[in-house]
Amino acid sequence: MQTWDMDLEELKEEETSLPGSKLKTELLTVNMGPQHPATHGVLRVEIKTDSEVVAQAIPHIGYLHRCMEKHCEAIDYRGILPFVDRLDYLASMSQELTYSMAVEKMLGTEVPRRATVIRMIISEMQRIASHLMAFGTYALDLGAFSPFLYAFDEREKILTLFEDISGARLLYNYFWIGGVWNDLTDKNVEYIKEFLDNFEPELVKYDRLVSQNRIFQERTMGVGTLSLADAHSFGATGPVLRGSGSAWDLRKVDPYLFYNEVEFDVPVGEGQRGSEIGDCYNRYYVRMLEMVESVKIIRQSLKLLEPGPTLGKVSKVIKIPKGETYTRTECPRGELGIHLVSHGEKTPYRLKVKSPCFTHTSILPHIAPGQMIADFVASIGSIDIVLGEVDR
Amino acid sequence: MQDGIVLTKVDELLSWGRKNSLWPMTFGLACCAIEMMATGASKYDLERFGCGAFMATPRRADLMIVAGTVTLKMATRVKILWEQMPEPKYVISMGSCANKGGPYWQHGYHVLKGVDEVVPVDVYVPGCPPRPEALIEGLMVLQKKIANERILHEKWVRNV
Amino acid sequence: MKEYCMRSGLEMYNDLISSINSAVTNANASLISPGEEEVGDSSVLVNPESIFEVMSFLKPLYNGLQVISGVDYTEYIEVCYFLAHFDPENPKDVMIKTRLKDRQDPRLNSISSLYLAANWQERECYDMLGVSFNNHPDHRRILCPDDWEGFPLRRDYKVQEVYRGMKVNPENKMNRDDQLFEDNKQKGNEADLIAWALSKGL
Repeated sequence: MQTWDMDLEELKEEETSLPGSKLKTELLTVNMGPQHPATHGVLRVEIKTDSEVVAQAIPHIGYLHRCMEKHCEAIDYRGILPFVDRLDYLASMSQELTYSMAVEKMLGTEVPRRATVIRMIISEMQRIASHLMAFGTYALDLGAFSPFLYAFDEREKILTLFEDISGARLLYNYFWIGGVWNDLTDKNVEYIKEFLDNFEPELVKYDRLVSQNRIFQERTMGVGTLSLADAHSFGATGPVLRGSGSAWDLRKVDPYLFYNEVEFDVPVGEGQRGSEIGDCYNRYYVRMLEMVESVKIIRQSLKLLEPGPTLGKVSKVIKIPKGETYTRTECPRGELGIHLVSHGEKTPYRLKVKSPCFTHTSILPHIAPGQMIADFVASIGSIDIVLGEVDR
Repeated sequence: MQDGIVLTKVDELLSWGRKNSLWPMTFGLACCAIEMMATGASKYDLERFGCGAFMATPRRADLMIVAGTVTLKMATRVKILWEQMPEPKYVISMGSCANKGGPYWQHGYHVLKGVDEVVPVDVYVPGCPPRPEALIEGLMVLQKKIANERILHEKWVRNV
Repeated sequence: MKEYCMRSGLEMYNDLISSINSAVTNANASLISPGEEEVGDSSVLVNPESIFEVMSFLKPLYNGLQVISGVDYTEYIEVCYFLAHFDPENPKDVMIKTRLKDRQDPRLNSISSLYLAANWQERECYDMLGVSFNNHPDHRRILCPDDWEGFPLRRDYKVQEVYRGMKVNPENKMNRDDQLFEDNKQKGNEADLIAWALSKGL
């Protein structure tokens, strides 16, 4: 069994100082432990450093392994929805959407039109909330405290809307199999329009406060560069892949819901303002631009809203015929995939979740060598991981 | 030293000082951590209760809010961190995962069924996740508990 | 009711299978498609010994590995590889499966030299199902602790009682009442049910 002691012994034999330095040094192992203010959750990274420069970074995960896949083999299809919620707890609606789409595809249920439009509006609002959280905590990691408070203030307005329609602030259980369980009233629609009108000037404010800030740019430009070929080989998706230059967005490539009826652009990292393609600044900037696009999508979807039912016809006891499927949707952090295997019973035979954050955390050992520890903290923040999804 | 009016009044002053400046340690593990951060943000302000300074290190904190699921891999670290906090220290168990295992109690082979298996808990806050108002109520219950403590009595009168 | 994979019909699969069979000799690629009463996606089944050669052949066509998923059917363990081509002009994806009959020590060749994503995905497959991978650079558990016993997602898994001095399932925290209620309700013992509920003070 390989342990970290073995790694240190092997490294000592090969070289003990980084190439290019004249001083003979030894590598020191530092533990960026599971309880740390700058790792987004319980992630442990073992860093072997040569003074301040990282030589090797080994992430250890599993501190939040909650056995969700074992639970899914014993609980019926409707009861799995709260478990799927708690995967990426910052974007719960997107997880529920993927799971409901997987089950509806196997059952052949028809989802009413109003429910699909509501799902689209709420998914995009959830995307804005999730990106605001990513923006706030990223600035907090790098030392700025005010953007955190601004972002949380805007996010509270979105959470008030979600509480009004679903009853909960963080983990909703709102997208049921067959549609949504509660309707959007006219008051909610007015609230959304008012929120969007107030939100666009806020985005301009964040741009001037953080994105054009000289200190922020110096800390994130040229740091943690991931080339496009490496991104493809790692299976990266979402803002990490788009920040490295590819225009891959599942909403355009393989449209689901009504994304082919609305017009929006896909922001791609192009080295804006003097940054390299694939570095932390591009990944962060792609998220900021995506918020602008989400506002556009919501405005157009509100026009598609027509009166009608919100929950399709689903039998009381859900039994899916034998078969398996793989469904994926574009979540704020990447592509979430659900591999559902059913044997014709009331519970799934196997539910495997492909989580984007798991794939992205495996990028860390690749981009870490050669950075300073403070740059490493910036890289972890730019990948935007949520440990509930990594460990399931 | 005898028990009297001076000792009780000094005890009250010390308890008042301690309960109004509890410094929590950031121990957010899962979804409840987001609600704890939202409680510390500007809408439900924790700063007005004196708990504004979230210390990252256990050496300077006197309150540990265990927010989120504790797994078996993490449980040893919880115990080590609790032992590193100096006395007097308090623990709030936030959310149903930290109380008794939460929604993962039935088939969770890797989930610790409640953080009170490794650490003594003072206040339990139920909810999944508990609203910020619920966490603030839990904090106020802990403040009431601290107000009833008598440190000097324990130290000087009982052990004589 | 039959449904095909997202962007492909059965002709695409037949072309792919014939090209795999002609390029890799011992692949034995065949199509698994949903039958009469079944739903879902189709997939390609290959021989476990030839998985590395099949993946090397498919690498120019599909430039990314999404996920490696393992399923424990009791006679065999099935490992599914989901490949995708991340090109916005030409998107495609495919599911490749292998079946391992040996439950004591199932082995496969690792593809982490072809796709960098396979490193962590194969570690998770080992952790959850016990499938070992030859030539893997870092073969150890990823989610469960290093000294955990057993492979959790197997069908015959029994969790250990104690881990490092902590009880995994303490008796006073397990809710047995709900299970007893369900059992009595299914057996139809109405009188027993009412007596039990009264005794609990409900």
